Amino acid sequence: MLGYALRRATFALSLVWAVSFVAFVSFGLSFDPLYRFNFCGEQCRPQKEALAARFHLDDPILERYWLWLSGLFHHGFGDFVPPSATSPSTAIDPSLFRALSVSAQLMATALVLTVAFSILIGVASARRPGTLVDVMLRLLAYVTWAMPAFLTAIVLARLLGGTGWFLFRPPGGGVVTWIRTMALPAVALSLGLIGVYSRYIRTASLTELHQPYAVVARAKGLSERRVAYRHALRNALVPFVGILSLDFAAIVGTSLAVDYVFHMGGLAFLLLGSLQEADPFGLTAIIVVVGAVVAVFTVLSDLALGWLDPRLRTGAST
Amino acid sequence: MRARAGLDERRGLAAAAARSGVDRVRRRGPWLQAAVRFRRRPLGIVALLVTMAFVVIAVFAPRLAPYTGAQLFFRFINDPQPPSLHGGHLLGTDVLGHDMLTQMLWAVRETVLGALGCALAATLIGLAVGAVGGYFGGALDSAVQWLTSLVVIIPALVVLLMVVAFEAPLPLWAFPATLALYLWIHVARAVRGSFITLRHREFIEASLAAGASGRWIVFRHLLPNAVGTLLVAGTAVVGQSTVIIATATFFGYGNQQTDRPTLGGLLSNAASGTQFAISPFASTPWWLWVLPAVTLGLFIVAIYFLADTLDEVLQPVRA
Repeated sequence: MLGYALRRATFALSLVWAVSFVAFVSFGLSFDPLYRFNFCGEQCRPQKEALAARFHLDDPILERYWLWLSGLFHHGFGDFVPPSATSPSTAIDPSLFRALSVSAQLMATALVLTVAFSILIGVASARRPGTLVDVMLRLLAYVTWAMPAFLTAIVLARLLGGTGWFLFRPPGGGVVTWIRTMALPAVALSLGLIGVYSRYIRTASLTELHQPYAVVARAKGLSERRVAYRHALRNALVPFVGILSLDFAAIVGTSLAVDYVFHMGGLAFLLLGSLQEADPFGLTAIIVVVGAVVAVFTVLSDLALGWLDPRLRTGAST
Repeated sequence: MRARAGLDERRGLAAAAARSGVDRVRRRGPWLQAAVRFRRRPLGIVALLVTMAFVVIAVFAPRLAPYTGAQLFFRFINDPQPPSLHGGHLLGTDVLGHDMLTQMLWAVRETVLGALGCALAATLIGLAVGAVGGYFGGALDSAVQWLTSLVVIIPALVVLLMVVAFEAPLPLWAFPATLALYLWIHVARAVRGSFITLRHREFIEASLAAGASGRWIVFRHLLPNAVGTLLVAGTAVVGQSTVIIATATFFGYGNQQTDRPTLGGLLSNAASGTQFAISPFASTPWWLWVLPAVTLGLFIVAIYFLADTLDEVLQPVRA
């Protein structure tokens, strides 16, 4: 298991490194954070040159990447490019990690809701295929699935925002305040996901419930609930975890839209802000952090898969 | 879905056999069988009809629209009219004095054609990459796997926003084209998986033993058997690209000309005219956001239902 974990981690690390390289080079070449100075001519030239020298903007791109990469280990992601040479510089790290913590809270809450309800709904409909309950859950799944999350978010905000109980600001404070800020965004993000994943769980559970081992478990006199949740579910989770890890980047993307609608001050705002400023350092930092989060999640889900189905660890044929 | 589809399949074939005699069933080709199975899924048929209606509207939108996209009705500026049968504005007008029906038709055109173009391009790229990885295996396959893993860890939405941000006035096809460079991985994965499964089947070995060339195996055996997978994955990409493009335009990026609206853009306009932070749309006239929201939802539901039905119909039994 340890060897398997190390292999997956090395693979993920190589991906994050590649992301940082591609992101830094392409943003470094295409975004000009000093674009403002182009409009004011000669009088801004000293400022522009000072900033360009400070951020090495005129050096060859590979040299800049090397500087950035070695700087990463000494002083993190460095500074945002300030609007003028005299204004104080802001470090990227604090605002990045504040935004990341908001986004992470949102995604974690939504994932917990998603996994719990997908399993409940999926197994419930697999145990009663073709019944009214199954059909209703299926219809509901399709409708929530088809609503883009930003649409779900604005509909929820429109319907429930007027009650005044829900807060449209960054999460924080006590438990109750946290719930007041987090409830709607987490539900908006997870509704669509529950729609998709409950279908996957249902399909997989239905297959597993007809496998010989399930029949044997029933023949031993186990209750149907025990067969469904103790025996079939573990095998039914294998495709689910695989798909969840593939979709995780898309979930991060969706969380940005939700974050934006509910004014949570997460990565969406940092991203849009950096885009506005055309700041290649801010953008690279965001991309690398998002990539790293997704990569870590992928490694974790690989490990979970290896635990659920030991054959996957060794690469044995399935 | 799959397991049930398998059961249905057996039941369906038995019923068909009872009706028309076993021999006729046996003689049917796989496509005809799929068509027969499709006909028995009313939801799938509805989804197909709705999708086709969207495509027709998208293609003929310039002819269907009662006004040109740029035409303004000055007396309705800041006085949006509700939908009504009289007065020449079937779906009302918006805050800027546009005819809403015209706006909606152009938005549907933008959304549907963009999604279809994106799906087509993504399917072609995914097919090529997936086929190469799945057929040759080995180091080439590992390289392809690494590349897809690399693409998959960055959210498509983020890339789209960045690409769009750095060259503001982009041509209309830039969104779908960028997205196609992204969404092909889903097709590639499906094709690769299907090729790998097929490659070890007995009929391929038999063909190899009979001296078939690689090209023969790929084009004669592997591709025809993977067409179902390809079609399902391609249809799913239509849905994905619709969602992502709508979200990106909702963020306010991308195509912002008011005579070439998008569904996400219409929603964004409807939301931004109000106290957005407290409650979006609080004082927006309902037709300005309900119409694009429902249209967008309907198209995506139809596409997903279609993909799902195709999945059940084309691949009734899986290894």
